[in-house]
Amino acid sequence: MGIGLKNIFKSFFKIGFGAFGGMIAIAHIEETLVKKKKIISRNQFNEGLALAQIMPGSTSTSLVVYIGYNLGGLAGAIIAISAFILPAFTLMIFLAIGYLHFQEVSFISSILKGLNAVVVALIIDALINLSKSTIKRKREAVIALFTFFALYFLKTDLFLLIFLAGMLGLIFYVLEEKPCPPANKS
Amino acid sequence: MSTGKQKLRKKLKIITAVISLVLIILGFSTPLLAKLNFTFLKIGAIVFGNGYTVIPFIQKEVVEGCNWLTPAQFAAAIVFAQVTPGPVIILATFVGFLVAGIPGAFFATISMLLPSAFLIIILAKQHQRVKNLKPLQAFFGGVVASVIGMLAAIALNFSKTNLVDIKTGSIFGGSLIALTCFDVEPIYVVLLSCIISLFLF
Repeated sequence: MGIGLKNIFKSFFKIGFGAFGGMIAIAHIEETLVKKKKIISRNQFNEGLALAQIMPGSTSTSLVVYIGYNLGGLAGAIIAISAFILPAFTLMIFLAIGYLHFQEVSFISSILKGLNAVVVALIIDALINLSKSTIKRKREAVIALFTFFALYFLKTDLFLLIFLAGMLGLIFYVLEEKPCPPANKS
Repeated sequence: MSTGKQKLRKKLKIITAVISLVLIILGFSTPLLAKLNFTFLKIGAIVFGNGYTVIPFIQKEVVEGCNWLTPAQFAAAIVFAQVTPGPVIILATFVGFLVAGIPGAFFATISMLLPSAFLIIILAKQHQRVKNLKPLQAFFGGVVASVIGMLAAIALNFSKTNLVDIKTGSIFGGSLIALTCFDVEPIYVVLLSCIISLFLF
């Protein structure tokens, strides 16, 4: 317990720097903080991961906040998430500056034309990865299809849609057959 | 020794409180920053899983709702978010920068992270109770499944505007095969496409 705020910053800065894609970040955290440095216990890591997965927020950033908070309270949480996001933030600023200055330059605009095509592939890839990890039973597929039709054809409001999808998940859960709890014989 | 530590803790708390107050005042000092912050606080509350949920919401709020970004700029933002380290929510940084420069990038990123960070800190000590809330998990499970449908709708919309000829179609096809069949990292796919685009367009 207590590794000092400076060390929290250093550890998470390194993790944030090497983490391309959220899931890799989680593997990095496990590798360095749990296995190598033994700053947090495996148990605590698993608890944090479980919480990060069910609560709103991208899993990796939520996990970083959780670990930072456990290591150094509120200050620890703030330091950890800042350090984790800093490399991506800095790089993104440079990309944005470059984009604004050079989007009119002819060879950059040809690159951007190509990237407009790549983005469709990136989204479909994300969709496939998410389907693999999410669709375990029929109900998830039903909800995904329902959302697609409602959004694409009916242009349903997104916030309403996300609420409806949650309610569908809840309804499926309520309707699911559960084993009978033992009778209360007294 | 322990009193020294306690003093330091107290100082840290005061510093944190002062900085937060200053940030809140600055963040809502202009109508543009205030609207930017509200938008990203709202979006930050509905991020799930890998962060892909933010893509449809940013498109709706920022591209269609406020006209802050053109669809082409938004497409570039998604690509950049994939090639930078960290989660996709870093999209907020790019959007914020285009809307209001460095302060915009700074505040959009904080607003995006704040709702979930707040929830985690509140619940960190009671995770046992949250973990066993099956109905809550069922609700969020439904939400995550719906993101798949949203991404599909977005991909279809993008393909109509972005895949217009054989050249763009083949870059798309090549990238998709590399990503899905050969599990190539997005950053290499993007870099290679950049080089190919130089010759194609």
